[in-house]
Amino acid sequence: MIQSVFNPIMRFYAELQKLKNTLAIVVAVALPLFIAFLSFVIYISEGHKLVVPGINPWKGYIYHLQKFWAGLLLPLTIILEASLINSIEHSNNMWKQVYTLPVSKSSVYLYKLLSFIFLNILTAVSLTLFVQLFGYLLILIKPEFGFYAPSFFGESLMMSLKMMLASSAIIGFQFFLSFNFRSFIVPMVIGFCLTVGTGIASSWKYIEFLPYSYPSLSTNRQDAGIWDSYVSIAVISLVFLSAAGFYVSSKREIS
Amino acid sequence: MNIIETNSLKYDFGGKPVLNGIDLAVQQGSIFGFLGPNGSGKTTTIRALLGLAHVPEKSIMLFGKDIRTHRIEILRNTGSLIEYPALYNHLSGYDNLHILCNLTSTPKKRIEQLLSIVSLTDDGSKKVSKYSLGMKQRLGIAAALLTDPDLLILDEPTNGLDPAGIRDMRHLIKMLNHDFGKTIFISSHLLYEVEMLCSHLAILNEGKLVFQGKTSELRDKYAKLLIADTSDNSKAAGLIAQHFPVRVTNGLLEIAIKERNDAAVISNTLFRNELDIYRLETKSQNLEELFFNLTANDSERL
Repeated sequence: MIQSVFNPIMRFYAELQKLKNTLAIVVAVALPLFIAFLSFVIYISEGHKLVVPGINPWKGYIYHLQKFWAGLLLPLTIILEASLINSIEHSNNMWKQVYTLPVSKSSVYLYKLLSFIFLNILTAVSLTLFVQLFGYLLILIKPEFGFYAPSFFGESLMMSLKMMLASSAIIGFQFFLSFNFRSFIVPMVIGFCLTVGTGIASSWKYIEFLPYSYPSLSTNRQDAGIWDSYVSIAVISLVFLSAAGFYVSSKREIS
Repeated sequence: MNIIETNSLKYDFGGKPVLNGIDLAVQQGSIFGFLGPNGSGKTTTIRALLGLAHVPEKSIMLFGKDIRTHRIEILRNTGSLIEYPALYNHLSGYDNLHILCNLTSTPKKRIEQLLSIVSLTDDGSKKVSKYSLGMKQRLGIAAALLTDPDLLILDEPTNGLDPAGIRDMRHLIKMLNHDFGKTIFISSHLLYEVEMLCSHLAILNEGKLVFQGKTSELRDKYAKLLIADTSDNSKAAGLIAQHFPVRVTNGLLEIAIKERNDAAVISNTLFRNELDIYRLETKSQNLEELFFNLTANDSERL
């Protein structure tokens, strides 16, 4: 009984151990840090134009950053992370080692996917924490902006997680591509084209049929809960894409 | 008891047959050499043995069980090293084994034992990217031994190693067989390496087995070549041809013999016919010549 709980935890932990000394962890933390810092610098230099007197400045500060993040950087981060996490196995030709271990072939896909989802949660939490951190620094540097007001930490964290959930279809698709393509470039180019294409078509009336737009669309209603139709479709897509991944993994031949 | 058995193992790739009905039988406790030139199908056979290539049901039995239906159970008792060792180069040797421990639910204390067996205790904390190829191969063997399997499948484990690395690897393989009782299936394209290490062997050529048996049987079976140089090689060739296949190559006689005593017969014949012998020595055959002799009929054989 204990083993049946303990073994999956250790397998998940082993996937995290593989990330040590890799760019995948660096990107998950450094990119949100960089974007939060960029926003901080913009507020220092141009904040007087962005802060509306009488309104809590945290609201605009968080919203603009998250909107920008959701529309472009979140999909690009997922695309990059998916390629990085699978390249650990591709570049070291580790698949032959992994598939000769006494574990089911489909679980190889499952645990790697779980570690990828963990990285995305880490990115979402990092973004929230860095935004808060730099927001509090603005209290010290620019007290006139009024950042001593409530910081919406809970709402900010929830919105970051909602964006992540709304990007589930992207997570599932990019992971599936990177798992199957040895080339680092192919999944990156496909993902980049879909992201840019979605950005260009953002005012198209059928934009809601493009899952790459869901992170951005999910930020439109700040007051809504964590679960909406975009999140639902994205999560269902992730489930189907994962099922496809399990099947492909279980039938995989290694040369 | 046979630990590995294949029954008319066939495998096609892109419509082209790679393995054409292989019947292998590897006995428990043996070091079994799997010999063949590059491209003969050795690695494909090993991939099939490990469940990495799809093969028909019942065509591969390990420990008496079908790899298609008992894959996990079989792999729990099988360690492998396929061509170059697959390792996480960005991590230390210790971390590599630790990850595999966590993936296979193996106790962590096994890591120190394994590093000691493969003489990497002092280098365990070093990043694998800083390892020499020999060290990587030994770490690969340690990874293969992680679950303390009864069977080790090693694909060309001395590939790319320097002479010292080859000697270390040979010593390690012998030790694992003698001291730890492991059955070892080892592929190679080097005849002398297999002859030095293995008690049994099989020879694969173009996807077909051309020999299987004890290493000593192979030595008896294939014709040895004798190189001779005399005062009149044309006359000598005519005399020798009455008893043995012979040809003149680069001014020297090449004679196919079967037994050690044949050299003495040839020597006596030349001596009786007043021919001076400048040179009479055996020539070790390379793998290609061995294949030719194993597959050619008697009239073609040399």
